[in-house]
Amino acid sequence: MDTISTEKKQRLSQNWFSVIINTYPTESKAFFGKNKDLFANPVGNTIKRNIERLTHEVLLLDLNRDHVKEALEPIIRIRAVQEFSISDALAFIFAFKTIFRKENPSLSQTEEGRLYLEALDANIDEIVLMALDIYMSCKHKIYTLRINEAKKHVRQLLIKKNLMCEVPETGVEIIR
Amino acid sequence: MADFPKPKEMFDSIDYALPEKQWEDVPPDLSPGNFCYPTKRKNLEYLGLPANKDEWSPSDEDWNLPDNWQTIIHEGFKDLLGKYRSLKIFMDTCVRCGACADKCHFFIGTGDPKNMPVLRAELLRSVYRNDFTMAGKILGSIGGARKLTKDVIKEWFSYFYQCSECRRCSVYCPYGIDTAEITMMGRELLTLLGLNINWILEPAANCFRTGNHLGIQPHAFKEMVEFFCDDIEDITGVRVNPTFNRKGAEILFVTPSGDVFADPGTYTMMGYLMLFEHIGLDYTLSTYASEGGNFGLFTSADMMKRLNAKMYAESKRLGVKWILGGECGHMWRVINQYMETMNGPADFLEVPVSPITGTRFANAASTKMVHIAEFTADLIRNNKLKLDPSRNDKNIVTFHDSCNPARGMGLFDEPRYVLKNVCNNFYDMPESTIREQTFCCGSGSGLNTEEIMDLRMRGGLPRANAVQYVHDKYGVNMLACVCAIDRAALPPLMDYWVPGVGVTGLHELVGNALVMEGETERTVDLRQEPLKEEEEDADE
Amino acid sequence: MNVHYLYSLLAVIILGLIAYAGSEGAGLTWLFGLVIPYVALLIFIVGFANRVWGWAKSPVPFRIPTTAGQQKSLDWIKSSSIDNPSSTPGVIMRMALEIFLFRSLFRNSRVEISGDRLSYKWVIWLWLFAILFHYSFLVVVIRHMRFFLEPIPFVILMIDKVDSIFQVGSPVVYQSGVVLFAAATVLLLRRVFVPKVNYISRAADYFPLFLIIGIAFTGIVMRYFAKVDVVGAKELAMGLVTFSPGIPDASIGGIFYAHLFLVCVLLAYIPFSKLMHMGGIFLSPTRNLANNSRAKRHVNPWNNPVKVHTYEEYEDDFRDKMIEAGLPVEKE
Repeated sequence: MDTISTEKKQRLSQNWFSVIINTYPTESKAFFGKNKDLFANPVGNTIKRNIERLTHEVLLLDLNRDHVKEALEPIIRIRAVQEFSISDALAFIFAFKTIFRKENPSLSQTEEGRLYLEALDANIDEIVLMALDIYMSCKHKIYTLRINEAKKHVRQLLIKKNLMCEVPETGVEIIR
Repeated sequence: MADFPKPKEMFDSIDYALPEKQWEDVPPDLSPGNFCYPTKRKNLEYLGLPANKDEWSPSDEDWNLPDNWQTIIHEGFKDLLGKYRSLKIFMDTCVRCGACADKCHFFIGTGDPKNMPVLRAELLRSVYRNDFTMAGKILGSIGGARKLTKDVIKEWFSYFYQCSECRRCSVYCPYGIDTAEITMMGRELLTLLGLNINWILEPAANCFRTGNHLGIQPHAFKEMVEFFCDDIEDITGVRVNPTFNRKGAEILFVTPSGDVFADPGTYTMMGYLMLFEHIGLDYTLSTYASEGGNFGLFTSADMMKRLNAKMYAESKRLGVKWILGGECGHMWRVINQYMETMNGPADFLEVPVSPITGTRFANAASTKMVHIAEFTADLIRNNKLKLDPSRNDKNIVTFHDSCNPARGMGLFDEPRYVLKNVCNNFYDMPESTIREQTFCCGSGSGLNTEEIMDLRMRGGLPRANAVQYVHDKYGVNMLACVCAIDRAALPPLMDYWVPGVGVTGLHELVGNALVMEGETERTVDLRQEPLKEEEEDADE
Repeated sequence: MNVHYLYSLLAVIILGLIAYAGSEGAGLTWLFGLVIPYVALLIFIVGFANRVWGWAKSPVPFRIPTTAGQQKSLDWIKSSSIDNPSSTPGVIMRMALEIFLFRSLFRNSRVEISGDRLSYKWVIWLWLFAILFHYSFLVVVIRHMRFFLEPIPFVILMIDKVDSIFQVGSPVVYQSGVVLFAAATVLLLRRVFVPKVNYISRAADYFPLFLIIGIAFTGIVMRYFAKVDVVGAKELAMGLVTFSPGIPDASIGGIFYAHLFLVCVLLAYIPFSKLMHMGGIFLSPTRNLANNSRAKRHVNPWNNPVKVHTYEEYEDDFRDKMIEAGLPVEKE
């Protein structure tokens, strides 16, 4: 199973992409899916670009977590702010199991194929776990930004009016 | 695309594709996190605006509208149609060609069809047809008309507070239909029912009383500015001496109060002070007109006029010759397109002439107010400033055209000219994302409030995406802008999408590069961070 | 499928059939040939004027041009005199480009990135078909003037000649008619098949398109296939414009009356529909004003008096604190 043709890979990633795009309203699906302008359609293009990388990575049975994270992160970052619940935002990852089986129907008939599928499923599960982490860190970031913003005006005033002072930032250089 | 697998369980969970429902039948999402907090009653009362019956939340079923709410909206709408030709034309001429559909940053980021400018306007238009056109009255829903219901009011509230009045769509519209105008009218109508958001009305109320959004009292305003003078002295060894409410000064300087109270705007403020000191400008600040921004623009024409009136009133009282305005977005839309009409004629002022270069600003002959970027560009052009752009070398800069100075004024080349003279590394973002096609920060028109952070991140995605591009390509690490809302809204946006890119005002960079008379050798920039450190990192 | 275009299509077919049957079967040629055209024209003129008057009645309180280029400020900065006009000639140019070339629609361009290179691609389809549609419509209208004028002015003969320059078919094919039919069809298909445009489209969008397609269709059928009596048609048309209306003795054919009736429906429909954009574009305040409100005073006729917070009130509120902070005050 080490030879998955480029063509097939493209098909797999295209199908995976379609699954994500189908989570958007009908009217914007075509826009997200088809507009190839990087600047006019950042959502569609970011997802497309990274889902291609992700497809490539997931098919390597020996998962490179760094590469996966690089590809996964931009997608999750977008989905995390798009009004999705966490399950809705991440469900697309599981879909790859079905997509792959549909594309390779005979695989489950051989012992070797079954082993491959098992390994692939394990990869997917691992990617879902990574996605959970990324999703949470994005949400965490949002909450941090909200809190910072809420604190900001007042805090600046307190500092500048000498009603509050902060510990000076010593030793920063050493840590860096 | 057709043959991708559709196992049931997967589809049930993630297929958000709308059923074949018309937009008229899709209710807005008013769950927490998707709306701005409604205004507190005290703000409405202080400003003498109508209030609704009781406290309410957009997530409530009942919004406690006044009993005659339908009449109020109908009469209000009629009144606006009589006052604004723009509204009539924009209600009547749209052919729904769809050219605007994918130009809105909120649509691009959310995919929500009601964020297409054409539909945002249809929210209002459908009611217009029902109430004011013969075809709508006869044909009803076939003619695109619909009755005003409480659900329509909720929809208005949701979507008119998901528009940042950036006017990008109006650039592409073959009839020049301006959604900002539609949104302004929609918000004005909602305000008649007491429906407004706290993030807009609290600054407006504060500004009315104390002269600035944060409600800073005069003595505190003065102290804050003096604090910057101390910082400037620490950094440069030069003491700057701004004056306040001083009669007889030649120029009144007005800037958004964000420059005085919120980082990184404060560094921009320091830049102004240094520049004025260096050229020996005879100017004064005012604590009464201590706000350039105008949240009235996001409420109603009358509110805008009430808040704006202070600038002329104060310049008259102090007897200055003309007014210089700081870096702010919507402040400059108001000054350029509304101020003189609302509160003029400013015949007690003189046509602005730069006391340093002698340049006469004929473009401001009537309003008598000059943009600081125009003023500084003129100084640089006439070689009146000694600049050392290498002090900004650790910054690889790109420029965000703020919506209002871009599409409500046309201020493009002045700030770029200044930038190119004060820093050595400047790269523009791709053409379709700057100048008149610039993407909004996603937080304009009073939407820069924390409770809708997700929405702001979605709306700002197209801008961030273009920054990401120059960040990856040229190593851009500093986003310059001429807007106080940008300076507040872009840092979290960058933090989320493009970490490692900072935000600065134009005159912070000017302040860094400006070689002042008698200054000591600088080792830190206006943020009191080492001038060179980053550069060494980059060399490695 | 949606009801909006089905209703519209049905409406146009029924209208066409009514005229065909009414003139051919019921012999109501006087109604479809004389009465309705006059009524339709009257509705058009009165309705159009009324609508424009309605717009003109409302003032333009503020100068709100959409500035799509560099402002005029310092002498040495080149201003964009058309996209951000500072004077009347610039505004006229801007309006001319909008009206004749649909400039804003043309802006619908986009940049595409392929690999590392920026390549520019214009999504000009909407613009292109809109231009083809409007100009072919214009030529068709001008060409039809030959039915209403005797002798036929040279200009119209020339346009007629150019329009049939390829000299194919018998009678020779006018390109304008074919282009009009094709462009309207493309614009219609776009509404049906592009999801986001479909979502915003209503009967008011489909009906005029079907109507115009119907007009073009009946016109083409009548000229090239049914070959109606052109002399009779001209006689009727001349009668109408010289206010000596009469139905020619020879039958012109039901298809002619269907064509004429659809045109009448269109005329009468214009004032109540989005087709008023033909008038509205001239009055659009974001396009037809110069961006010079900082240089020249613009007056708002209703400039509402408002309650302001005066300096005196402000000082009364904060006087003690101001004095303490060393800020100058009016009253000690």
